[in-house]
Amino acid sequence: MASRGGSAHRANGSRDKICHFKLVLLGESGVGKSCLVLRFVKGEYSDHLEATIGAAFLTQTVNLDDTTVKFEIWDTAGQERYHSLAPMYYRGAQAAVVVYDISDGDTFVRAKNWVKELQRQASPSIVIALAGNKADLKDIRKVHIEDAQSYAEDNGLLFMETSAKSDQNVQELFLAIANKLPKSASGSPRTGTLEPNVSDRMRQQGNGGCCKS
Amino acid sequence: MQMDEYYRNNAEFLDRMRHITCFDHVQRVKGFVAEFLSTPQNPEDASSTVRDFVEEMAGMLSDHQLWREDGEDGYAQVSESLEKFLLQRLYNKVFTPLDSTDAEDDNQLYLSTRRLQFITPDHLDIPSRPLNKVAFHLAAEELAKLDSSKFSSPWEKLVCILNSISILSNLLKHYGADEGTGADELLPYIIYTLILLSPKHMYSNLRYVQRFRSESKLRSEAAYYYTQMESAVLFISNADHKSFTISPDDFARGMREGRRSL
Repeated sequence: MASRGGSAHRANGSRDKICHFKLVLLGESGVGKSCLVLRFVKGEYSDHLEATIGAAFLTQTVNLDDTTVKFEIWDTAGQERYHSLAPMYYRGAQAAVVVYDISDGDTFVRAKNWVKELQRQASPSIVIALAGNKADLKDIRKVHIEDAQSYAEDNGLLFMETSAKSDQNVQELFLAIANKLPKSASGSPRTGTLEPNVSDRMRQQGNGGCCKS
Repeated sequence: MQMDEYYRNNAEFLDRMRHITCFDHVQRVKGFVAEFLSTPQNPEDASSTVRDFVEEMAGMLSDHQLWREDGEDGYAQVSESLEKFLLQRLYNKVFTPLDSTDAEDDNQLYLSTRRLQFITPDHLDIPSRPLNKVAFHLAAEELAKLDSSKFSSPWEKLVCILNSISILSNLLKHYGADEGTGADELLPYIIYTLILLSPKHMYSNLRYVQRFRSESKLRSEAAYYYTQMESAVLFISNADHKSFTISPDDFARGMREGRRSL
């Protein structure tokens, strides 16, 4: 069972492993990438975020049975004119969520292009999830769930239809990614880092290092 | 980490280094600086030489009796202070190094932003908002601090970049808390701020941070916003009429006028 925003340590001790993963968000502008992540991080459709500079970078932890996965979520600008900048963001990412809007067929085409690009250029071990967002708009659906499902199966992607608005499958999506990520050899070990904090507030970085017990 | 904490740690570090038991360490640091300044090095070697030395020296110092009780935090603080101490002394040699394309790239970006002065927020689909103008100017002011001699360590430069983006991000939060404000909205703001400022040493600053901010310390949120700035710079470097919401004719006319004004 996933729990939100908790500390890395369980009440019964601190034996859990903490794994840090970089997750990049891709998808056409307007498909609700940031809403999806806001929902995941805050559990609410809209809210103010205090801890970080903005909603473009967010972190969230997911507790699995024996590990704690900490996602560092990198949002990207989805407009076509920024497409060529994307490799700077997905470089080194262990996971990607490619988002489209089920009520807009063009965004699904765009999503498939993202998947193709990731398969060609991103890290070969990257876990890719396809999210058909705005599932609450099924009355004006343009992308059939079966089409997306079979595309995902053919390409080895995780797939879910999600709704940030009605909180459908949002936690489930990230939990599925957390489960699929390899827990032994990701990222690099961490020492206590002293990161500059823009808002002049101290935020403690996890000291444990990736997958250290 | 807060600015004042950073400077407090630095003062504390220098204070301890004056202790008699640190004499040998101080000599080693001085020796390193002297040797570094007298040896020609390409930018990549310079970066790894400095990083390796910081790591080794921070390891030695955190085992020293004056630091031993500080634990893991102590190591991080010592390496932070060493980084600042060393790079202040090596700055003139490693910032825009001679055997790099940094100076040329700086100049190209400067000229590009000067030529693009006809670009308005509309051309980047930035919605017209009452506080835009103020935010752009404040963000540009923060970014201009990159060239202040007061901020010469990689950490301080990174803070200038993050502070600038933070102003834009706060504006977006102010207007868009309901729909959530992501990179779709933020990146155009950063690009416009760069055009407005026309920075003279942007590539040098970014590469200096990249070369000398050790990898273990350029990560997470800092790495993300550094990448935002880096990608905005690249966008401007490669910009043509398709980069903006503008007709090819209007773009060509703007560029002609921009060139004339240079």
